[in-house]
Amino acid sequence: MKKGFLAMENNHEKKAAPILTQFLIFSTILLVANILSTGISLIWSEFPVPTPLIGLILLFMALVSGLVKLEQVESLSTNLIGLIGLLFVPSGISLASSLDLFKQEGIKIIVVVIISTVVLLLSIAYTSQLVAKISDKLHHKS
Amino acid sequence: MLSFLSTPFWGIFLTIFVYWIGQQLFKKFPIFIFQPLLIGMVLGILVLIGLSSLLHQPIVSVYKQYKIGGDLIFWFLSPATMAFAVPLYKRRDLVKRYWLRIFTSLFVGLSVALFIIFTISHLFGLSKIATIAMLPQAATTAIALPISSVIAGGGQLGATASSITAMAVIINAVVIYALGNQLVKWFRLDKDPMGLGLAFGTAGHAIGSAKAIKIGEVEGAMASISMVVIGLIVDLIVPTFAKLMGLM
Repeated sequence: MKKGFLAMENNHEKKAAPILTQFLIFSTILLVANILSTGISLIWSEFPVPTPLIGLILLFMALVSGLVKLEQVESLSTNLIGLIGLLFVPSGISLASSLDLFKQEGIKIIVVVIISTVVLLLSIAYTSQLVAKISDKLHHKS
Repeated sequence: MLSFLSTPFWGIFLTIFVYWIGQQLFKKFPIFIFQPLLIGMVLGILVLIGLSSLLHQPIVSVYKQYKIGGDLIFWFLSPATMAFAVPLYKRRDLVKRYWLRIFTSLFVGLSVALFIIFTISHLFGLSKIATIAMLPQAATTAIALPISSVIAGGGQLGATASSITAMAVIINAVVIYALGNQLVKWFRLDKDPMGLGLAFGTAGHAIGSAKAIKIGEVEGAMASISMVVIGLIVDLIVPTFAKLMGLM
């Protein structure tokens, strides 16, 4: 890795926008994302595109295009990401509604998930190593 | 007197309380099994089971009462997932320079992993619904759950599949948190910092990214990028894969 690889953008510290502005930006984007998500599901019912995913892409595009400034969303984002563990708890507890299935297959499911985690880790890591090797070779040739 | 159970206050309180206990335990005993999220989930389920036998009500109706408040907290997962655009934007220099490598690695890596996960689920004799629930686990919860639900056919089946996926995503994080460093050593993953970061973000989600940041800066940045990009790729290929395998 070359030096400067991680050169962060120059940190121009600007004052965070008022929290109401941040809420408004988030809720506007989520509303638009939800309309788009519903629209896509009407045309293409088998390919769900979840609202948060569209929202993420929209917010990213808004930041890149300068429509939304970093200081208008940064502090709310940081706070939400900091709370993400808590936000996961209700979906974990939702297992209580599927205890029957879990009683029958729980141990098997947990074993499969543990193996799957390792499979995901290795297959992504090794594919990336392979891709790096191939692109290095291509660069040498050219 | 017990009418508070069917107000949102109950679910909100229980969610925050069990997570808080998890955090306190983790502060005192920083071992992987005391992951606040895992403790919160297990404690929460135990409380609901306890209530169900105390009130002689089926667990499903006790859960439905919890869900009124739980859903309010769960809703915030949408803006929180969207918020990951900000760290992605701050790293847009890396995204710009390496987008092809990031995208190819995640796309090919996930496709291979899906085949293996599907085969393993088959070998273990998992039911169709549980097999479906295993497929979107590379994405973070807010993206994985709706996909899982739609593939399973929505309704009650969808709810079952997404609750299993939710558990899978939590276990992913716990496994990476607990075994991440050993896995890196055993499989020599440290010779490619970028790949290591991408793999940690995919397999371990937000907790995997936090772990990757501790390993190194490149690893951490790549992990948070991969968490976002893999959500997009899961959304692109998992429904197609499920169709090909006759699960949908």
